[in-house]
Amino acid sequence: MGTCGSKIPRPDPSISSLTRPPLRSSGPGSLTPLWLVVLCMVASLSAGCMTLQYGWQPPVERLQSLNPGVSTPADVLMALGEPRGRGMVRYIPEAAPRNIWFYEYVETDGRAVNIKFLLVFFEKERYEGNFWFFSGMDTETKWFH
Amino acid sequence: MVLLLIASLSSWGCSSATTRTGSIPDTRRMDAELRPGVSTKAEVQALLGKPNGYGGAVLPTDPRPHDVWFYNLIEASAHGTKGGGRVNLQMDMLLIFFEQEIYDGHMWFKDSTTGSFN
Repeated sequence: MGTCGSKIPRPDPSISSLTRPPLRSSGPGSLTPLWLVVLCMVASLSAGCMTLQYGWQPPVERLQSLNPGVSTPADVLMALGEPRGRGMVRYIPEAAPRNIWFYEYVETDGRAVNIKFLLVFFEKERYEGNFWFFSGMDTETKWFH
Repeated sequence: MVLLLIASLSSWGCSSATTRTGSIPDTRRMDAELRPGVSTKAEVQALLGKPNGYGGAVLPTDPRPHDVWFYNLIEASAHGTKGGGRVNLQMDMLLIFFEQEIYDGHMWFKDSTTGSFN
C-alpha cells in the first residue's frame, strides 16, 4: 500500500466553499497533532490545567447520506465539510489509485486524549467509501527527578 | 513553546517526565488464535482486551461495511538537562475489522519520533 498527502490549513468559514482559493500545504514549521499532544501533556502537567484542540470533529453520522459510486466531491463537501488534508492510496497493483480526503480531530487536557480520524475515498471523482475511528483515553504520568 | 514547557519542567525541579495514554495489546498471538470469518467479537476481546475506541469502514475494493475496534498507545517523554534536552514520542495503533460481528482482519502501525531542544 502506498500513500501520500499533506496537511492543509482550515479555511476561513466566512468564505463560501465554492469560491475558496486553492488549498495549500502548511509550512515545515507547522505542528502535527501528535506534537500538540506531547506539548499539551507536558504543559498541562506543568501548569495544572490546559486543553488543546487540533482540527475539528468529522461528522461521521452524515456518511449515511453519501452513496458509493454516485456522490460527487461536492456532495461530500456539503455533507462533511472541508477536509484537513488530502492523499492517495493504491491497495493492489490491479486497482487504480484512489484519492483520499483526510479529516482529523485531537483533543487533550493532559489527563485524557480524544482522537477522531476519518478517511474518505474517491474513485474517478465519485465517493467510494470511508474509514473512521475514534478513541478517548486517560493518561498516566510518571515524573523522574 | 517547547522551550517554555521544558523550562517549566526544570524550574519545578523535574528533569524527566513520561506520560502515556491508552494501551496496546500483544499482537503476537493474533495470527495463531484469530481466524478471519470465524472468530467472534467476544473471542477478540478475550484475546486483546477491551478496545480504546471504535469506528467503521467501507473500503475501496471491499464494499462490505465493517465495524472497527481501535487500540492505541501514545507515550511521550521529556528529558531536560541544563541548557537543552530531548522529547520522545511513540505511538502504536491497532485496528480490528469485523464484518457482521465476525473478525475479518486487522491493521497495525507504529511510530517513534525524537526531537531535541536547546
